[in-house]
Amino acid sequence: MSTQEENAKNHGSHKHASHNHGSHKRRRRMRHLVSLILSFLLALCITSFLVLVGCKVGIFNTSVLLSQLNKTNYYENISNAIRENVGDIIRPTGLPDSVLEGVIDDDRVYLDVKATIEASLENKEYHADMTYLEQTFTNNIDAYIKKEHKLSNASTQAGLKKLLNEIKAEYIRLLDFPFIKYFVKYQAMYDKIFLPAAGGLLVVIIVLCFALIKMQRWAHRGIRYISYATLASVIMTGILPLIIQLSGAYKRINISPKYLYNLLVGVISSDLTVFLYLSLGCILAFAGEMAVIKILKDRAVEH
Amino acid sequence: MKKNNSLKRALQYIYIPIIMSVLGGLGIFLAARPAIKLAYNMLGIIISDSTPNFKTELGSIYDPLAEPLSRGEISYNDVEFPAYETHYAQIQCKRLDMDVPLYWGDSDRVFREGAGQYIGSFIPGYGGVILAGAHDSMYFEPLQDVREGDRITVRTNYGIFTYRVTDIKIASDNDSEVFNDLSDSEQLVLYTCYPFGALIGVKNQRFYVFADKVSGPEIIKE
Repeated sequence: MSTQEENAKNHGSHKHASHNHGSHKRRRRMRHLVSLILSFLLALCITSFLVLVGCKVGIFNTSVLLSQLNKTNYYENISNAIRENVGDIIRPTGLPDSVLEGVIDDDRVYLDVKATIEASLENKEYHADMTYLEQTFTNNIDAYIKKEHKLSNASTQAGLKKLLNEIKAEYIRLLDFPFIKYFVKYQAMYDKIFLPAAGGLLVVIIVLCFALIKMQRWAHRGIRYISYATLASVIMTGILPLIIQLSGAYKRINISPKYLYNLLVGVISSDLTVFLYLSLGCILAFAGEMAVIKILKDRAVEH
Repeated sequence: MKKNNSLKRALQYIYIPIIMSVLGGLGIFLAARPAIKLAYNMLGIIISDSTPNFKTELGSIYDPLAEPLSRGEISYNDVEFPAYETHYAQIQCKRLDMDVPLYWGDSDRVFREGAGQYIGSFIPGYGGVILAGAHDSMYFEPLQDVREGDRITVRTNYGIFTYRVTDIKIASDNDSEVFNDLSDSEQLVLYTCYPFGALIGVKNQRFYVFADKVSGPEIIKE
């Protein structure tokens, strides 16, 4: 082969090599772009899955509500509220507060409130047994009349009966937990959609992870895109609950009386904490992914 | 070169997730904008500017050491208007030995502590009706001995107002006609449950005392 022919051949090979290198670079960029898009979709799916789980474990979890009832002394506060309100009912009658002694029993209130809430959670009705309240109140009134030598005629007895009915009505009114019916309704709706939605998202997540790994020449590169999605999920899941928790905005909720406010604030705080824990779980998953990337990369280098 | 690659990779772990989060958040915001707007408006109703104050004691702006006017005119700007459930005056009657704190508002909490004024009525000095109630077994018990011609004083930080009892009525608790003969000038109306002290259970009657203004300053708007 002459020098000229040799030069022509080398030039041709060089041009062919450059052309190959250019299209390789283009393919690589395309693969990177597609991987980023899949990673973004994966981030959205992971975030949606975590939100679904967070709502199931937090917002629509009955245990959270029941535990906050104890933590915020809800039962004791209800007892006090009943005593105070019943006191306001009897005050205009001129009867002394002593006629209420033993009428509102803390243990009975606790059992009645608990039974009312549990019945509501099962979409049932609970009817508190008012026998003890009636008997104690009537005995106290009789003792007061006897002691003070007060007049007790048919009119008085009719008035006292009306008073007792008002007290019973107030007792039953305060046993009722205002938001429980809405909670049960939305919990039932959520339970219907949770499994199909979470299951569907899980399938999509697995498919996307598989696609990301398979698209790359080296598995650790695919896992890198998965870790971007994991980190993005940490931010999207955790940022809003963190801001709300730190700012205390939920504490400005305008609800009264105080025991109901304390209960709701406690429930909201617990719910926000659930999302923060899920976010933390994602961080641990990211740490695991980084470890896997390191191991796979080292193996690839060895080979 | 290796160091540059490592730095580049480390930065990718920072800016790529942040960009994804921003894009994701923006996408969700744009897609769910009507629902977010509705939720925001609803939250605006139940979230206030500060944490609620569940104070157990009622407030007071009444100053027993104040030296208020008993005649003349007072500027509207010099009168401190009471907030709800705030003690702002004393209702006094020497003959009945009555000295009762008067609160703005008529909730159950107020009735435990004194007389409560209906917030749809006027404060003394405005030339309107001042409507206040209290329990017959407690603060307004002395009213069972009231008679026409008695002088009742309402003492505030800005003025001392005297009223002369002109009428006493007993009516059902839901009888609105009892207010048909209200005076066009400033009038004090006190009410309580009736009969006094009887063990009757729930009382359905009310005891009303009507008193016309005799002396006291006038609040003027400048």
